[in-house]
Amino acid sequence: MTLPAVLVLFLFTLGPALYAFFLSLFSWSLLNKMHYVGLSNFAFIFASHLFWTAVWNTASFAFIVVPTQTLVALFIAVLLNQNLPARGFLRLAFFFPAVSSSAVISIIFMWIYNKFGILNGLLAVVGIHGPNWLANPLFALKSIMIMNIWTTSGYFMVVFLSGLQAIPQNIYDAAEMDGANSWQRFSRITVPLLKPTTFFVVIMGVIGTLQMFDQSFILSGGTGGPLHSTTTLVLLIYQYIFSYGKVGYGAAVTVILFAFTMIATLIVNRWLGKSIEY
Amino acid sequence: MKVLGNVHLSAKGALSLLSAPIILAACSSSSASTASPPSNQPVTITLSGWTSSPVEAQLLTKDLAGFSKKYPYIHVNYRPISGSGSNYESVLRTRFVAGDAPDVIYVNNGGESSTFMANNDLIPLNSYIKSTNFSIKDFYSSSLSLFEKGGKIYGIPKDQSPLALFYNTAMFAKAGITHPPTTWAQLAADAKLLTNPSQHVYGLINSVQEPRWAEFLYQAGGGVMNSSMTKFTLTSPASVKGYTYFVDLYKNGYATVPTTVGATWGGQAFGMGKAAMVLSGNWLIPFLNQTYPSIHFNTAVLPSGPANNLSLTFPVAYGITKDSKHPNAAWKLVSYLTSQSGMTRWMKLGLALPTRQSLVSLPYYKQHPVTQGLLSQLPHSIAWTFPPGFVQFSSTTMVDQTTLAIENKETPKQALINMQNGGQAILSSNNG
Repeated sequence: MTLPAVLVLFLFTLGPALYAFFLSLFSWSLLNKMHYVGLSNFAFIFASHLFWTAVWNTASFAFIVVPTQTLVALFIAVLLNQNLPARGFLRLAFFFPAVSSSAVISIIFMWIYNKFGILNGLLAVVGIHGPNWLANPLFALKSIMIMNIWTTSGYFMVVFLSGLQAIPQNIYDAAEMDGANSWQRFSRITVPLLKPTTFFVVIMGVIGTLQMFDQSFILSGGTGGPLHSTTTLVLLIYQYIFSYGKVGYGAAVTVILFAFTMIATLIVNRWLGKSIEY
Repeated sequence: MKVLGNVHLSAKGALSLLSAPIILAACSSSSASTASPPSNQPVTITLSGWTSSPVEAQLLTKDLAGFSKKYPYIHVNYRPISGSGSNYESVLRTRFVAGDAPDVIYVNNGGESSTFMANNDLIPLNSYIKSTNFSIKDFYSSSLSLFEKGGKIYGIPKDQSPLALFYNTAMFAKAGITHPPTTWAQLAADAKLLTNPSQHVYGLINSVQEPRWAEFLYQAGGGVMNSSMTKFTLTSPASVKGYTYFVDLYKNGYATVPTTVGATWGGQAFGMGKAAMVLSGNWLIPFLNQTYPSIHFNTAVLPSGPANNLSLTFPVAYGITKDSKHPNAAWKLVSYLTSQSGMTRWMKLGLALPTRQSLVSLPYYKQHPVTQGLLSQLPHSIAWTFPPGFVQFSSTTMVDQTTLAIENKETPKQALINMQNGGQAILSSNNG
């Protein structure tokens, strides 16, 4: 029974992954014959300024986006777990970005972030002269962070909501009887009992942000600009392989990204992955 | 990369305006099969190209309707590849890997076409040219030689356009400027007069890609590379002079990049009425007519620098891929589109200028005087090209350095030194 699943897994997931390891040792332009070059692709990548820029961009993206989106998602989830009017509508409104295509969202945000777009129009109302968000290297990646947080928070909110609803009400009732105020109930009951959910949210967040590609690609027109400020590791992989025909370099970065992702996942696992005790 | 080395020929003719004559006799060794399938048996071929704007796809679809009337048994699937920058070639690359490339493709002169030729992804057309008595004498040799390597012709140039100066006639009249600038000094003075930052209006709006500033290097007597494309010449005194002039237009605030006015490219900024001038090609004319019909504009040759008023031109060819199962039908399409009458038809759609010398005097141009600036620029232009392996360099490194220069974060000279070093490093690794 498991054979088809294993076959599919090997064909579409494990196979290509192993092939990336293989390719990282070769020089190939997709069009010519590949030849073995040992570890020289890695030597090139580690000496490449552009690679370290991409590492910095990807890491700072993950460090800012993951905690922010987790906190925002938790906050909205707790809020929408109350008996609010129009609760269903609000849940839908927050979840909506998660079911939209990120390409479409990116294009909408190109207009929002335009020098004369809605965002700067709103800022002008309160007397702030807004920057040229996507054309300014200082703001381009931050703009994408804001967009990403907006997009993914809704999805993780739903995950948190389901986690919240799995917490038995009687624990809260008992705590209330013992005189715990609402902050204590939140920090001593909700947060610890949500740990498995938080673990899932953080792991998915870390993996998702380390793999960020589409938003950078669309908002920078595929260049990772201005001045490489939005070049992420996956965008760099794409450029090396498909734009510049340097498959070996791209595959080497892929292998390095695999290592980074694994290390980050192990760290999160150590921190949040322990089973919880009531 | 080693594998990309040793291929300079495609570029050879590009910078030498006096290209060698094309020797047909040397081409007969081509092994392409001319054994034609039984004619009138229905076949389907695919044609892919990029689109300079949605207008191009509409116009080509129109032109292809005539082909299917003439050859009812050949069905042409037109599949334009959209996307910006090098996306077209990225997509083609994957199609080549899959062994499923379109039969007929646009081949450009500055990107990876030279790589496609070097890897034999395109088939030599010599035997087809010969067997159908297709005359290639009429083509500008500067265009044809871009798609020729070792006596083999890999593409038939379909059209080209040089960059010329587009200017907003209403803005010029309002500012009291009677004629377009003809010298660098006039260009700077006019741009200054036409700039009004409080209205977000600038004298000149262009992105800082290499093809928008390289002409200033040529106009100063310098250049990007030497004529045999074996060495960069970005740091020669003349090149520095031309580049500094370009950078100063931006630093003085008379010129800016499209994003400053909320546009994505210079032509759009011009259409929005935010730019009094823009350097652009023929493709801008149908775009403006369709998207911004209220803009009044005209074209003129580029203003002269200390040496000349050279511009860059962008020839595009049709090539047939090795994956084509019906090369004979594909050749029928290519020759239909690029023949004397085919190119005449295409020219009348107004998207680009001819690569056939005889068509420059087409009556169409008399009826459309707005193309005069582009036509007059054509004899004073160099075909834009790079050797294989320079896509990353020309699309990011050169843009980045120029961005730093116009933002005054490094001197023009330093930007050129950085580009010179980067370019030389790629050249030496290609040859190594």
